Amino acid sequence: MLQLPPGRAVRSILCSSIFVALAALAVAPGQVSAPVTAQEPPLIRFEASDTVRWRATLQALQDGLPYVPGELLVRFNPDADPGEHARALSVLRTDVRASNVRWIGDVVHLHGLGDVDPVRAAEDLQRQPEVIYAQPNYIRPLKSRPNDPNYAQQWHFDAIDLPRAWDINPGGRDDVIVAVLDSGLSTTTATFGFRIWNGEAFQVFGVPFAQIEDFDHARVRRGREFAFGLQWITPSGENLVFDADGHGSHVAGTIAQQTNNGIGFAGVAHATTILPVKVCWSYWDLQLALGAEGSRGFAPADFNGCDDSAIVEGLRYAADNGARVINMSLGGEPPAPALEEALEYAVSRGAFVSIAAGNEALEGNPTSYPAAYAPDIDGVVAVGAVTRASTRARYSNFGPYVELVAPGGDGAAQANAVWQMAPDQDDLAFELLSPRFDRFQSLGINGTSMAAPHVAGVAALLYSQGITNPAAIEAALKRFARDLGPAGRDDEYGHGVVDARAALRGLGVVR
Amino acid sequence: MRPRVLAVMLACAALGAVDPASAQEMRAIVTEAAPIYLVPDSTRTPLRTVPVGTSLELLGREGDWYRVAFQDPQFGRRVGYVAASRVRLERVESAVPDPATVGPGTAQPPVPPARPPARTGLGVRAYGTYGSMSFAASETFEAVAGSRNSTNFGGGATVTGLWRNLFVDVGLARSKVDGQRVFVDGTTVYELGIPLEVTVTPLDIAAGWRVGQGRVSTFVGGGVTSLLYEETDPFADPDENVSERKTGGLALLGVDVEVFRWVFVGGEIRYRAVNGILGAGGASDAFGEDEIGGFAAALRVSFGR
Repeated sequence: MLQLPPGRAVRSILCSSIFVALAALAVAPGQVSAPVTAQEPPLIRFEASDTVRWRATLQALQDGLPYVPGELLVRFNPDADPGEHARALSVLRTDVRASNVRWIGDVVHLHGLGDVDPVRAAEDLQRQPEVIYAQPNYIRPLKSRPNDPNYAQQWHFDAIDLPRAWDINPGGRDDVIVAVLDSGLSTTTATFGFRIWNGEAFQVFGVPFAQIEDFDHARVRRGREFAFGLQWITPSGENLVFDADGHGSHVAGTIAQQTNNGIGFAGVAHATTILPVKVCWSYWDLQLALGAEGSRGFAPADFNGCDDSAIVEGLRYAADNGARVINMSLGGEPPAPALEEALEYAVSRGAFVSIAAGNEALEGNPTSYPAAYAPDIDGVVAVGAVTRASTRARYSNFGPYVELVAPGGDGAAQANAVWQMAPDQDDLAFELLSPRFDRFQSLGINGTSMAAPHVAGVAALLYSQGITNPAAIEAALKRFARDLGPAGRDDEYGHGVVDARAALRGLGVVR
Repeated sequence: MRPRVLAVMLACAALGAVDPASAQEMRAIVTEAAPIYLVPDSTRTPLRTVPVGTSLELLGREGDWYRVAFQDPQFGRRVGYVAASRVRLERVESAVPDPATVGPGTAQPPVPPARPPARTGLGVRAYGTYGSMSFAASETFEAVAGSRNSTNFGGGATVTGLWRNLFVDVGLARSKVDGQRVFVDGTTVYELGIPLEVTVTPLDIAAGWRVGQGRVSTFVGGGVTSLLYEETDPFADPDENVSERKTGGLALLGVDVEVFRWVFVGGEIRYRAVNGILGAGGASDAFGEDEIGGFAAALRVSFGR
């Protein structure tokens, strides 16, 4: 995980330890909550839509399961009536009640099914005539992990001819909404009290949040959280969206980080509006949830994941709330027809979707979903990563579903990573007793996660320029991509590296 | 070039240029004072000597002599012979008044014809045109400019009478299109709001046949055009601007009406077809259109004889 500068990490841990020692005087070991004094920040409220479901989720996260136990996503044939639904569900050999059923659009999210094996249950359901598809509620990883911060030039913007593209369109329009389905983005500046397990007892910490300074927050929507069906509710009753990982902030930064403001970095479509849709969790999301829920212990240090039901909800939410472009820097191996259907829904609502192709080329190059659905949906593209030398990054998945590539970093050389502003990784280290989300740093990371938002940003520029149809945006991106590798489309580079300036400039009569 | 289009044009032009012989007659116009003899023998005493410009009814030809009829003031209509070298022939309307009356043995001024006879011999006219160009690459220009038509200015010069009714024409025209760059997805056009300026400048060299009919003459011809195509936009690098010249086919037809002496007003239609510029990229490639040119219809004002 993180290569922390030693001095900084030790200092943070020491400070936290002092705080622990003082707080331990007031909190008995094992107590679930501690009173918050007038001087302490207001205690945040934790909402789980279903306690059973949350416990199942928690178990999955702690056990490292690839899916949420006891949960399925099922799509019934539209002609099937409730009686036929019940008949089909009878193959689960368990009692499915109304409280186990949640509709996300046309998809049924079954949860709280106890010991039902989701993989086998999905196979059984899939064979029923009333069922179009059934799948476990898979948990998909984010597609990159951060490495050491460094200050470097954003070579990756030159690589897609972005400065000259900005001559044509300086960053898009603020009525163009780009949804980022990811680990979130801090949209609140406040401090809230959280109960956190300190190894011996629960203790209340004031956790500070701040909006990233290098965003124009007039153009950042408050957003929503869907990951694992859980939400943090602030004392004023709002859904608290924040980024406990850095991934979501980095991705959002590539798309729309404020530009020409004298600080930090630039963003591709820096005049568009960002809609953070939190569908993924990482260590501190889980650890804070554990504390709020009263579960002792610590979350897995390297935990991160995004469940399919959250992605489906997030896609629908984004599309229903005016998103013209959606970025999904996430994916995983299991096929997920629910995701395919949600992608089709998003496109039908006028949203273009950019999806990371996956970072597992060195681990057998498995097909990554939902990226693999992209070729079948006009308006959705799967994006691989190229290095600063315009060669396929070693980690970048390849195959027939790769449609475009964009800069994703070398994965080896620090200076050749993709650079944006993101939460200070030292403040999110699992060694700390409490995190903070109010400090930010320059962060260089690599992955197809970093490539996809380049494409999403260019798509937002194209929408701003007048190409308003998702399928046409995809066609333009492919048409003007700079071909790499063998002539024409190939499995390593797709149609080539996205060329922002050529795509924006479009066609004359002859050229 | 589109052979069918050209064939239709030539056929139309030919129809328009048909000489209505049945409504005309040939007359001999005296070009220098001409004695008229009873028989074709210049050693004899002439019946009459008629002045320059006299129009004589032509009855036939015998060697170097024309047999003509003229109105003798003393004897009325008479028939005689005039040396072919002293007259030129001209077709005139049959409604033209009778041959000039000439006095016996004296040169009498001829009665002027109802309208001046069309000229023959070498003539040069300069002209200007103003009209509309309708591009053959219709989908392409409708996509970038909202219309396949554009204003067309031009000018040139015509030399007539080189041989019989043959003329040679050299003309230069210019059409400028202000549009915008686009993206084409299938048949859907997305306008990008980036100004696009297209200029088409054909240099035409044509030959053809001009037929006069009083003050009205029609012409039809064909030739070659050397077309300069230019395309630019504010964000283009120098090497991204287009400036290409190609040669293609040309057909033209038109009509001139003499409104004053040496001043003609009329119209013309030209069809140009040039390949090798469009279709290699851009919207023209997206629409599969590879021909630049098309019909250009214009008002035409000429000066000269």
